[in-house]
Amino acid sequence: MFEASVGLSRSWEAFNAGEEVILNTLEKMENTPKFVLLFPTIHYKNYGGFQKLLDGVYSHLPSNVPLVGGTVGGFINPYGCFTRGVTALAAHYENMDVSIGRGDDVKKNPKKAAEEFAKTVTDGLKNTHFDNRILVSLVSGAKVFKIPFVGSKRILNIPSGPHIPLFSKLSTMLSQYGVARSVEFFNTAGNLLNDFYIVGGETADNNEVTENFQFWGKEVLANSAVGLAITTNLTPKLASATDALPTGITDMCVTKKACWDHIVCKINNKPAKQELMRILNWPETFIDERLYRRIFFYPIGYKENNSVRPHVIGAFYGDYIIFEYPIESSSIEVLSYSGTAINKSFESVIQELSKEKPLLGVGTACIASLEAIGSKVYLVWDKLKALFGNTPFVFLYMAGEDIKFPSAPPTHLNYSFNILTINPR
Amino acid sequence: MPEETMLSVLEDLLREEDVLAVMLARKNEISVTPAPDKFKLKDPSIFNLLQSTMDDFFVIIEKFSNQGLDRVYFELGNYVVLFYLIAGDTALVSITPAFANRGLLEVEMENARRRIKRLAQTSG
Repeated sequence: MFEASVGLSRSWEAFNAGEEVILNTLEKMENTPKFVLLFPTIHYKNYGGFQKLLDGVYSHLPSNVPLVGGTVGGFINPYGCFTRGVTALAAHYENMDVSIGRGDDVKKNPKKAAEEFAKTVTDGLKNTHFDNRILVSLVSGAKVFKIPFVGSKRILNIPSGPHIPLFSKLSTMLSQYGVARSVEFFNTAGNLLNDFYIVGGETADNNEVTENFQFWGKEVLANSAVGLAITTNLTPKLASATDALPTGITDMCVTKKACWDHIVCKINNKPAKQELMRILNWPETFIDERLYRRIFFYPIGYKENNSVRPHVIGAFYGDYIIFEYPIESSSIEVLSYSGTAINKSFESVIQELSKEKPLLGVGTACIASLEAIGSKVYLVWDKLKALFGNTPFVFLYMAGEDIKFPSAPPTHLNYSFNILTINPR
Repeated sequence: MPEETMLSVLEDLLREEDVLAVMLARKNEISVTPAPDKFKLKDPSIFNLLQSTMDDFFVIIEKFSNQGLDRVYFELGNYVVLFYLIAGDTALVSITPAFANRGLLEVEMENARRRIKRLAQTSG
């Protein structure tokens, strides 16, 4: 018999929260879980730390139960919507094999991390007899550069030049504060794990983009990828939609890029920041440390495989625009993002899954959507409750979303809404 | 676990990094507030002014409450004041920095409002 459970703790102190969330999860299960997924918000960093959180969890969880997880901007579960607290999801089923994957130093060498990750996943499933493969993948997201004597800044009015990409590359690789190289990671890992349904994304903080953490058993990691792989005779289903909509502003050509395509130096052969401001008809005074409050409603996108890929602007250094994720096309456009767009994508995913009778659900969306809709997130909760009924689910707000269908290319998304369900055979 | 009260809900909300001050304001009644020394406001006069003018706010709020008024926000210098209405004559009020991640904070404001509503129902 399949059984799953979701737990919640709202305790402020890390150890207490770890104890409470796992007890709350286990008390609804008859069997020891085959895995636990754990998703706290970032605030435990200042309330005892994440090691204490895991210590609290493992004070009641048998040490041989595999656990992976990571920090998220917020989450929805059957109990409500939260931007502070911790949730866990656990399951037990006889016809299910489990493996946990790990790859380290993602920002330093994402390809190597992906190869390690894929190897640990597949090694753990060598003897499985089940055909259906599912992976929940969690990878360290971007972290704002820490600049000596300046600190973490999103806006730097400095002269432009090759020193900016050079600093960005060195910071990302050496201190692992910088752009998220998770797309490079996910493209490699996804291709190596070609027969998996994958849902996941980038671990996050409270959208300050300063820190994020991953969990692998009892270990707290800061620049790694972790994954829970499941093989089973149950039927997975994955539905996904993107929130951002076209604005018609398409006359933009990226003419100079740097730093693994994360930095756009020139648009239409002009300094990128000034040209973007001209196109948006915005005064440059809009570009201050409150950048995220404004710019995430206007992601930059480009067409790929008949869909448009939206990207969040992360920072402006000199005349350059720094993106968390690489801009892989030279032809870009301005997209718009709004409550209406969020609702549209959300409805389409719910509609696609409405005929299923899921046993379990894991969903992801962009933390930008939580910023945009705020407490209206309870409208999303209402719909998820209607979809899942008494079925355990967690829905995570992440710094970027990764999905993959078997035999299809891995896809990194922003501003998207994704749900993976496990359904009866 | 200690029994939840209106005050404990407010104190919990005040622990949020970006909630600088909070109160449960009630028309023509004394507001429920955590001890002012727990507030993180650099300039407490803003809170005092807000507290002393709440009854005036309720005059306006009541006029719009039949139209579905649910929340009111306004910017006050470097601060944002959030009113979450619990009934026509009761509101959860918080002061946050203008730079706060308001969307994320709103989720916890809503959770506090729901907890207060539940408490009001059980005590009423």
